[in-house]
Amino acid sequence: MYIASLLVFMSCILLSLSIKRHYVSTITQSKISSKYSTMPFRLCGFLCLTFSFILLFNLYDLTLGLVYLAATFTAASLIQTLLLSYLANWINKILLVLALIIIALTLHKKLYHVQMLVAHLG
Amino acid sequence: MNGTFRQSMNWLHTWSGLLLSSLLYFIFITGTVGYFDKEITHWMQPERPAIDENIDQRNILKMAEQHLNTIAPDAQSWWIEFPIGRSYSAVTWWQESDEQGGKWKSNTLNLQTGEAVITRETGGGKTLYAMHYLLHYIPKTLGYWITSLCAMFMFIALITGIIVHKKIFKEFFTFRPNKKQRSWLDIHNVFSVLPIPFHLMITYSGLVFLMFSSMPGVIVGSYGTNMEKHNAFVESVFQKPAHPEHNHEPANTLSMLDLMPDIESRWGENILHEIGLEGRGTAGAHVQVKHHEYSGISDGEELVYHGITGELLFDSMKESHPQSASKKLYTVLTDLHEGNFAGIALRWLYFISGLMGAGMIATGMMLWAIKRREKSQRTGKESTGLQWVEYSNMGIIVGLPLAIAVYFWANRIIPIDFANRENWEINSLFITWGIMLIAPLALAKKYSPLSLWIKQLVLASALYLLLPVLNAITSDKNLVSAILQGDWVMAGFDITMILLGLSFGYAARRIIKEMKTKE
Repeated sequence: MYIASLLVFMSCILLSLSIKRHYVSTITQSKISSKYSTMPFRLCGFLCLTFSFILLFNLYDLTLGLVYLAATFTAASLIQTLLLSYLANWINKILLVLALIIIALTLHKKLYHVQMLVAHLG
Repeated sequence: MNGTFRQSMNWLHTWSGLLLSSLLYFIFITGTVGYFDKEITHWMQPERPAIDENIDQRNILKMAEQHLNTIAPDAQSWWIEFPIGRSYSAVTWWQESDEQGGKWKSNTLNLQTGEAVITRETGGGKTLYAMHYLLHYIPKTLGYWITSLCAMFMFIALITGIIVHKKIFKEFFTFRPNKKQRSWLDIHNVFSVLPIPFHLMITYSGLVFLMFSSMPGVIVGSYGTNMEKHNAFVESVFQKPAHPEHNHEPANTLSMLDLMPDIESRWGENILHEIGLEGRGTAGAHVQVKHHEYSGISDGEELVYHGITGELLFDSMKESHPQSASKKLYTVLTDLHEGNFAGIALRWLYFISGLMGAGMIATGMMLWAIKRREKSQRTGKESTGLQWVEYSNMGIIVGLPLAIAVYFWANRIIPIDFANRENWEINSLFITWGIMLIAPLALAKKYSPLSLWIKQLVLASALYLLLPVLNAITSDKNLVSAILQGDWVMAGFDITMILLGLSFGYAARRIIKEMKTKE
């Protein structure tokens, strides 16, 4: 649930950066060079959203997973809107920290599964 | 309504949103608060014992049956609610016999002594929640009709809003502060677009919820007008699991405790939400048992036993009643609307989305007035109607939350033995709201609109910030002791009130700053 929520938040950040206005105010501070520069953000954003949906679908079922996805996306996008309005300079750092937390949590979870497997085999 | 399609839709969006906006705001605020109805009731009855989920449910059931045997030996129904999940106390319910009036009554149990706890009479969170579809002081059916009408207007406003919003994706995540009218439009869009799935779901499901009242012609057309036929309709739509046939012959009903070994062998220990014995003392008696966990968004498992023989009549896991597609859709939509399945995290997300809905309506009301104010400043024409709207906006937008704070204050200030105290709690809410609506108009000559906004916001802030203090003074519970005892419902309520108080205070501070800049 935590990982899925963080992924939704990350997808909000990435999707917002795929919008020209926010890309300019956060990343380049100048005019956008190519219309393809925002594309990777959009792709990664939708990828994160898809992953979070898969996680939520596995945790709950289709209906409840969708409810969780819509609800977390609403809250995350509200936070992202406020960040873009008042703390736009922090977004890069937040994105980095988020990615690190997600990786750490996922590794921790995987490690737990490995430990359980070893204990089971032992 | 003229011009291009988008212009027509814009006109429709403005007026469908604005006409019933104050009622819609009331519905959204009370409905949103209703997502925490049980938690509010827990705070409003501080006499309730601290939450203890560790007591064995068999002991609770034994205690509850003994208690019901003493105080309601002739009741036709007994129900016991266990302290589990969002049920914070053990509660016994009983329905008096028809000769006694057939009323439902309840008692909260002290699980240490088995005695009933004397709790104050209060509307609690349930009354606030019920107001969002029944309104108040008006007949039930009229309440349903008005709420349906509001939901219909809201639905039109949402659809037309989507049509008129030209840059729905380009301006996603966009809020530009300190840009006057632009900022108001941005925040209106933020509150509308980000939670759009919630807004569409809650409005449409609200309409579906009330369709039996708002569209009675459909039922009358197929089933006729008399009550018997209406009941046949209700029975066919809301089929109940297999119950023994109605039989009023006197018979000895079994104790619910006797069924516990079988229930626990199926579900495990301490997982019951409710257990009830219907048709007590008759041959048609049956025991209904409800699991505390939900299955997806639907109600959890249910068992029905024969009340005389103890034979299992129905198991929701093994048998499912045949449901038509429309019934399934109705169930899904109403389940989504109520959000009963939601755990604490999802409940907070529902709450935030609901607040954003209220924010959407409030900013819509503000935007309408601001647009016209700028136009009137350009043309130099002063409109009394516009002034009236501006002042009533204050009373509605800040006045309602302020009145809800007074409802909580009334719960602690009105003496416990005061006659009709439950009604007076509600009366205090509406009296305060009335005063808040009238006050800006009455004080308009003495104070500027901005200073009137500040006064209401400061008052709301003070009332919310002082609620935890009032709680500590008027009950044996307070924020610190609640945290230390792990009573997170009590502590959560106090913390939320502090946060609300701070939010109103912050809004007041922003307006004070703006006033100083203007000067």
